[in-house]
Amino acid sequence: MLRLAIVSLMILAAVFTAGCFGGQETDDIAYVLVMGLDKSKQEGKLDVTYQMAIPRALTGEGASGEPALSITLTAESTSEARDLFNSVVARTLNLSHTKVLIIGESLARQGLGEVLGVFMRFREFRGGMKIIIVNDDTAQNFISKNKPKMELVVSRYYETILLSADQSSYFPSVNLHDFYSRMKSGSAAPIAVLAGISGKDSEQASSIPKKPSDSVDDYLAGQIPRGEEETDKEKPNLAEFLGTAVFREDKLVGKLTNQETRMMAILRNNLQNPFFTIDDPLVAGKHIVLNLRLGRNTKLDADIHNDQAKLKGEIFLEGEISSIGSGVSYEREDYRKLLEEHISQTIKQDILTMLHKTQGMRADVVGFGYPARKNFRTYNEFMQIDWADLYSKADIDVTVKTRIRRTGLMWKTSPINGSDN
Amino acid sequence: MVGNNVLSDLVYFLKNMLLYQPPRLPRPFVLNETVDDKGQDYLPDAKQGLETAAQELDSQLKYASELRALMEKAQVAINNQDLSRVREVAKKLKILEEQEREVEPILLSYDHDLKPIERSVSARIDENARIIKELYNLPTNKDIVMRDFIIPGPMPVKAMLIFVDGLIDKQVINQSVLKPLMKWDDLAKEISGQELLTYIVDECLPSNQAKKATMFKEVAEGLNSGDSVLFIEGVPGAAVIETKGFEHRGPERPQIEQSVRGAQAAFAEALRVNTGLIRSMMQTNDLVTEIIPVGDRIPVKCAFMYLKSVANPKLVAEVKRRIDNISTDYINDLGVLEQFIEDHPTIPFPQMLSTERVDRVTSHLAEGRVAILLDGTPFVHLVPVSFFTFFHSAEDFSIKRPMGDFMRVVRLIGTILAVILPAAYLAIIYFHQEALPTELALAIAGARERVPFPAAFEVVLMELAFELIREAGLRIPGLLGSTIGIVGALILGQAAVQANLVSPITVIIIAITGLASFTIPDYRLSSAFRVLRFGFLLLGATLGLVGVAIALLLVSVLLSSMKSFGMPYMVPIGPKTKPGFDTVLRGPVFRQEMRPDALNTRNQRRQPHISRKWITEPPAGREEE
Repeated sequence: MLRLAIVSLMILAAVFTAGCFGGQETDDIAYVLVMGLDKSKQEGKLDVTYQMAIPRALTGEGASGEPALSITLTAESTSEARDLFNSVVARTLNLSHTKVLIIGESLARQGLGEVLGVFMRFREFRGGMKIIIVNDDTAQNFISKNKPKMELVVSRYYETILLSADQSSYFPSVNLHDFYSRMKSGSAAPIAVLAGISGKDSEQASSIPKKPSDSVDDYLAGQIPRGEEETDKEKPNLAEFLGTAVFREDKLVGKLTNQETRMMAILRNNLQNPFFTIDDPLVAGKHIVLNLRLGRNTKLDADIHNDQAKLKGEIFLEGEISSIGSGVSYEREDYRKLLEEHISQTIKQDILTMLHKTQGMRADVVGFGYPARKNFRTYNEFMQIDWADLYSKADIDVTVKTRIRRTGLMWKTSPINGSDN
Repeated sequence: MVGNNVLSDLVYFLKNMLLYQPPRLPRPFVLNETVDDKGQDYLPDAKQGLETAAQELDSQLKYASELRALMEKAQVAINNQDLSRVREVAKKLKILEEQEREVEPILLSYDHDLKPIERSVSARIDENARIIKELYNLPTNKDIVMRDFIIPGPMPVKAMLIFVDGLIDKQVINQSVLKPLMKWDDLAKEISGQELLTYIVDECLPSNQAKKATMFKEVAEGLNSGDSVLFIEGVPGAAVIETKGFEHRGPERPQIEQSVRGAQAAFAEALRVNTGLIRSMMQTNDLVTEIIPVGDRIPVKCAFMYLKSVANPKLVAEVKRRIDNISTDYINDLGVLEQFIEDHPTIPFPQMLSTERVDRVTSHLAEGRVAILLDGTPFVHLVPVSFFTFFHSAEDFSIKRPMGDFMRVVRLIGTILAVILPAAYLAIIYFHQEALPTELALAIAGARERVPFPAAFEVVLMELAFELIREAGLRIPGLLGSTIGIVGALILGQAAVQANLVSPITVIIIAITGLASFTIPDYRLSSAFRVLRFGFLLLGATLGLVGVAIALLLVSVLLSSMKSFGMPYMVPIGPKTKPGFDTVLRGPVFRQEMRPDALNTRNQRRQPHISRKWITEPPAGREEE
């Protein structure tokens, strides 16, 4: 009997010390789906925005009103803000379903080092949450203006749009863990996706000088030209994800446009199957559209001799023709060779332009720092040098090879009958 | 009394109205405590001795008077010089000589001290009748029929046929017992005593089973099982003649273990029908049926069957030892017998495979198991059995392997769902919201928004409702409609949701759980899991997934610690034995080369390595190539 009592007590003790605690009913919890951080008007403080789901609005019957609720508070830190939120929201906040961390440009320029610590440490946050920088705007504004029309829940919108990043490669999809490890390792510059609200500053769109070699325009988030009637009303969703925010250490130092982001994606092996619009090599003013993808993984290499880095990239693209505006028979063997050479040259030029721009920012967005580590015996030795500095002065040599594998569903371009020439 | 004036009438009327008077009821019947019968045994019963003494004297007196009557007859016969009469007298004398042995005073007093059931059959027919009356409480008991008749012939003999009404076939008694005996005129041979009995049994009765009995114990056994007993004057023995003919159900289609393929015969209540069904599907001399009666006061026939050349003899001996060593009044069901002989009566998991299907029994007998049958139970239990056998169904081997495997996997998933789904649901929504996709978490939260109860209460409420419906559906008389269960469940579920008592998601969880629990092929295993589910629920709701893990661990420990008739319950996984291609999934039939390793059968190999010998031979018509 005594033995039984002791055994059952031990089992009970084991069960209750090993079990989970803090169980909560679903109706006691407020799920925070989106978190926004901004520099406050008050010195040294943060504007913290929580966007929470309203589960009642998601049930079929009597579903009315907004499915989400955003509240902004000003506090010393995000943790302090969470406690203040407890006084504003009746329910306990649950951060385990927070999908994205949105940061306003002014805070990003000031530096994120201090702010991000808690996101990595606190158990409820996930390393997989995405980090978004708002182009020339506040996170609070972005969250309040971003009203997805197709998705019921805002978290689904963020998940879906960031999952489709590789479709066009016009914006990267960066999670918090990647951002943080790039920030701390020193081998690459942290990057984040750039988002913005359309039509906020329409004249900025033309402010980016169009290079003569470009066949398509470059944009940053919020600058995609839209139909007139759309910008007037608040009806369609005005949020846009386009371009890359480039950081040096923890500070925002520059932005890459959509085309530059795509070049970065080629080097980072993130290109899925986007369309490239390229000038016709034979007929001026006409374009050729190609569907290109990486035939092989891009090889990056970095050699360091006498404090001079030599960066190499080997790119192999293959794809198919989508349209030939001029009607030249690029399907033919000799013309195809010509076209391939032209594509390689154009893309090489674009990549080099992008890299030179980032060299100017002293930010290794592609991550040449990772292959560069092989020049050092220990990680500490690598950490001794200033990789950002080496990168900014490095010689860059990129080789691009292109192969056109298919010509789409047409194998020949016939001239239009009865045309003048 | 005062005279009947108006005043007194009024007073009487008021008194009647106002005063409470208990209604006049008949004296109630009260079932009093029985007097301890132990004490009664020690009370000296003065009359008892006298009674036996009187019986002794009575039988001696009867004998004496019969002797005297015979002597007088003999005198007359000798005086008249009638030879035939003398012969008759001589024969009567022989009968009397036979009876004389019994009236020895010592033997008589010994005999009368015995209980009636322990006495031997007397040569005197009236003495036998007296004992039978005592044994069967005649004439209170109306079931016993005693038929006196005379076997004709040159020297007619008194005879008596006894049987139990309702257990016998009247046709058989009339045609093949009474008719040959009463129309018998061929008693030329002058035989008597045991010889006469042997002669009647051997040459006279056209019954399929007839044997001689000398003790009343055998007589009573025969009568109880539907045999008729023949007593003959002057013969110290009786003939027990097989005349069974009681009403019983024949084999029907399986009700509980239905299958699309395979044999469609199920056991019935009568033991002999069941053994016959098994034997008719396994026509081999290797099949042994042993019968042991169980129950001290009311013995019931218990049979166990095995293949002599396959089953482990130690297993057979153990089954026999356990059944033999039960001391109880009466066992009316195999489920009761099971609890008397199983290894762990306190653990809810079944330790024998209970089946109503004949084909299932024969396939397990062929693997080397022992089948246990009990008279009156339309089920057969098989031992020893492993946990995984309960997930097999009869038709797994009747259909092709991919389908059989698929069905088994579905059943296994169903089992896992039935046990842990409500517990896992509670654990996740209480403790591990991050484990769900955001939209699912929000959907659950949204559905629960209007429900005023905690989720655990909701789940327990629905579980109880489901159990109520299930139990009600089982107990409801068939006439009232069996569909009430399912309809009730739907209505209850929908109405509860509309009344905001439970959330739709809880209804779905409980519905899936209930549905899944029906995929467990074994009813008793399913009931065991049903009970365990509440434990899982408690641990899941209080300790989260860790609690569910703890519960799973405890169940695994329990399962691994069990044995079924000497075979570990979790075989062939814990302990590991040679795989038999028939545990969770099944292998091709032609690769089932060995019997289950853990059964340690006499003969391990079922078929040679190449059982399909035709694949090594040239096809028909191609021999010459």
